[in-house]
Amino acid sequence: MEPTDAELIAAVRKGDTACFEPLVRKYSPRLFATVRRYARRESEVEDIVQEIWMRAFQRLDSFRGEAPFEHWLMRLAVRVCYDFLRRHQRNRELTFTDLSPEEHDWLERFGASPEAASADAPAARALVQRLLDQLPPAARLVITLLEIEQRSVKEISKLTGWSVPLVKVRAFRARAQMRKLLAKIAHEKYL
Amino acid sequence: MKSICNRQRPEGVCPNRDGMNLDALYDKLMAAARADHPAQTVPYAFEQRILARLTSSTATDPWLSWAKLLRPAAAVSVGLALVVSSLTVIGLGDNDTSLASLSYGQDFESTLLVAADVLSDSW
Repeated sequence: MEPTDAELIAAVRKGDTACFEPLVRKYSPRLFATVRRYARRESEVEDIVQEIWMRAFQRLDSFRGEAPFEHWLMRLAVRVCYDFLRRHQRNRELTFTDLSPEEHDWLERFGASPEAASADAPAARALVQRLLDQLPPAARLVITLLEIEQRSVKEISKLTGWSVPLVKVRAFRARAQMRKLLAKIAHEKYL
Repeated sequence: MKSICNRQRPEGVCPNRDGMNLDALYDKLMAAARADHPAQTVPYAFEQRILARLTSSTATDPWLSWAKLLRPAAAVSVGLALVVSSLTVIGLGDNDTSLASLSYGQDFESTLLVAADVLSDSW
């Protein structure tokens, strides 16, 4: 029978570092998927996941076992991703000329008929990624958690450590910033 | 004369401005992002790399333990130096002991420089 998370954690706390490996093996796929939402380059993704595991190991004593280990780990992951976004904040403004020909075409199709432009198109995914890159760290985090991962405000509050009203304020601002970026692109397109 | 510049557009965001429904565009892009599920692939031997990093960071460095031992020793040395220097300062008031400390100082100097003296004699 495989040892439970609680048993593995207890063993690691006693000094058996090798018991950390099954935890890393079990939760790394989920961590990689989460981190890939915030970082594009694979080298960055790997560094972030590594940082999450190092912090998890160092702070294992703070895990009280009241909630599942996975929840505790995901909270840590979101905070490390937020730190990463803050360190790599992009200041350059997006212009319509920055868009690829495929993204232009997708916008053209959407402009002609919104139903004709598929949400599954790679160009749409690239465009949304480009827009998310333009957002400030807090806005990007809240849009990702709320709109893309479809988490509740309460969940986001737990994950980020922000209060519920703060999450709501940041979500409102983030949506406004996103719409402003879209308006800018649309404005440049039809100017 | 009629201006040839583009007309000033109103500030703010509203649907259908510039011929594009921004709310629908926003919803469509969010749907695109939701449909895009990031891969869960983990690089080869990632667990081993994490374990190697953890064991290397937790392994005891002999120089680190030596430095840890030196720290209290340094504090004791500083304390001893302070005590000795304060005793010397107090002792300067007394002529006899100051003479004694002077002779002690001379003895100490000659002991230290004996090797140099021997060396100069041999030349």
